[in-house]
Amino acid sequence: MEIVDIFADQLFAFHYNGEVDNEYDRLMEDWTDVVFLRDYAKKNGIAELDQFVKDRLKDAEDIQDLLEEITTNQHSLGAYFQPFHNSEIGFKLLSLQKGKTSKKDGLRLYAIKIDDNEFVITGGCIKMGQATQEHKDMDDEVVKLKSAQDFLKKGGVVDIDSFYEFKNELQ
Amino acid sequence: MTNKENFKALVSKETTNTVERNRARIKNRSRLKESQQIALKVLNKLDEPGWTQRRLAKEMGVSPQQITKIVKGKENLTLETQIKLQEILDIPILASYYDKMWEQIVSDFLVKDTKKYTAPKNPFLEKEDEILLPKMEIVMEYDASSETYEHYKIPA
Repeated sequence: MEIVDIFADQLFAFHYNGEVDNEYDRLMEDWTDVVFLRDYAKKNGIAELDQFVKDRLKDAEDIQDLLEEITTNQHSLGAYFQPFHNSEIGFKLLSLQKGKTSKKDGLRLYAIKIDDNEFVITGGCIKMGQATQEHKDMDDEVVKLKSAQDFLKKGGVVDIDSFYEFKNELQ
Repeated sequence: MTNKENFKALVSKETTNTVERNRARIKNRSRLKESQQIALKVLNKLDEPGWTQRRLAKEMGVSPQQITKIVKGKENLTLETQIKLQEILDIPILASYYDKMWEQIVSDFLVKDTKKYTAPKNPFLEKEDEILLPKMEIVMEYDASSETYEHYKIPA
């Protein structure tokens, strides 16, 4: 496991063992893969396969635009992340979030805040409203978040008590 | 060392090309969207009984790995590949598919019909039968798709 620098010593991402890409690139490869998205929809019993795939492809494009915006504007990274509470983990998640907070489905990127203008992406998932798959995906994310947290603690990075969710709209 | 310094010490010295890859996706977005749309149509067709990726590969004369790439929706498909997909799977990909279909529709529904023409009632005449124009028959070609009469002629 390692942490890689995505942008200007501000945005980082975990690169987990056994993966070809860091978490941003890995997720973006999946979220732009029609087979991956369609299989996901099938597994979750979604009737409108085409619509689901098209919506998630659009969500992925929005996140791509957001990363591009981050690399070209002067906003603080904090403006792009919002706390997301997860009772299972017992601390707040911070995530890069697609869509308004009221939107049920969508893509989520999760990150740990290191400093006011420093975030490290730990993973992400397709958020599926009340679908059962959401729990499994979230479980996988929790495992990754915990391993990321341990990795940071071992490296002397302490007081990591909040995780963030990327949001696509500036407040 | 501060938290921040400890964190920096954990960051790999390797550089990533994530921002460049992201930029390339944005730059190629229009093309990618087309590839994704085609991939969806292909996958939907392959869900129909009798179709498999292996059969498609065989009929197209390409490797199964090539089909795997196509259905991911990331390939920059050549015109030749698009034509093969359209013809073998009978799915709309190129404009020629709709052109052909439209020609088919027009020819299927173009019918000749004979209708009697009755001159409208003249409001200035008191009696209905005192119309100025004689009754006559005309032949009209009715296009059912556009619901219009396109041509007419007076029979000899």
